[in-house]
Amino acid sequence: MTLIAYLMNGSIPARLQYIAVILSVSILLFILTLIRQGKLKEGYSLIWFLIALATVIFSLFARILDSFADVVGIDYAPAALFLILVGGLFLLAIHSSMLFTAYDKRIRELAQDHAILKEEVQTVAKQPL
Amino acid sequence: MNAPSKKVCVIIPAYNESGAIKRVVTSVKHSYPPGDIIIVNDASTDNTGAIAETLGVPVLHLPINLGIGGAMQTGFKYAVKKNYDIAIQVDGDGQHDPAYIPNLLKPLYEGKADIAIGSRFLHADSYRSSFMRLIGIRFCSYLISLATNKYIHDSTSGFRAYNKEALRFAAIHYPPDFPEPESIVTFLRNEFRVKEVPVAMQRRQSGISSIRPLKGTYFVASNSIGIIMSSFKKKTR
Repeated sequence: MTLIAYLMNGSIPARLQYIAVILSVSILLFILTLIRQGKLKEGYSLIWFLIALATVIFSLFARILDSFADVVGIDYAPAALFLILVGGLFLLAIHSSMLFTAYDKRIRELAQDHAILKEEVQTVAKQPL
Repeated sequence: MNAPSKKVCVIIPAYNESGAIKRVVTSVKHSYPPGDIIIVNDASTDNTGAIAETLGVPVLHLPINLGIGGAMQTGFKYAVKKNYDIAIQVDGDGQHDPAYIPNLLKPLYEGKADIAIGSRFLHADSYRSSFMRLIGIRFCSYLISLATNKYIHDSTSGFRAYNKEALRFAAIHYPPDFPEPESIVTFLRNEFRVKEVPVAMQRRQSGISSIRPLKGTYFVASNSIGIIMSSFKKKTR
């Protein structure tokens, strides 16, 4: 227990920590709800889930955040939380672009096959039986 | 191989070319009778599709607009499926003169090239173009030469002929977004032999060029990115 209490007690101001914990837990619950309701496909939700989990961990265990801030050279630890969040969102944006690219290709191939098949069906339909 | 044994198709991509498509098809039939014409209607919003249907040639109607790259790829896929040996691209706006088709085919028949590109700049009857357009094309050519060590004078020309190997490759790997200059890099990097052939090009007969003046800068910028990016792409052949 004392270890957990120790880890939770970082340099981040208490009020800010409460807000950060409440917000990040809410986001995590929201994402879990979306997955449960089938509104977010599991495969695509993984990265969202990881971002939410990371913010929960870093805001709850402020000592870890402090150590991270220390390692990357950020004096004000809460700013490190932003860095983690921005990094996560950046990865998410790239991941989304990759998905769009894959969809773009799939749609294009569907459209092309559709056009070719339609022409072939018409050719067959025109032939006398 | 001698010429007549080859199965040749002429792919005509058309997007809102109701004013020109009939004339283009007639002129291809007249200039190069052995070629089977294939029209790719890139989800035109005018009656290009309906006019194309009356011309007695296969028409591939795309359900959604894919742009020139995606439309050409559709034609390539069809040509591969129908076992054509050579595919020629003639744009549906009428600026490519089909009378030059035999000139494009020559280096392919002679085995000197896999892809022949009709170049308006190599032709004696020099093509009159706007200064800005010329700068844009030159810039694309310059970038291509940096990426591939080969200078293609008319890098934006869509008047091209592909042999069977290049056709099979294009059916899978043709760049869908900004195809003409970028595809040159893709082809050269995959060790296809590209040769330019002098042709005369006409001014557009009707319709609007897909490259509008205001979009010219965007066209050059995006093509440049396409060229640079495709020079990083892995060799797929």
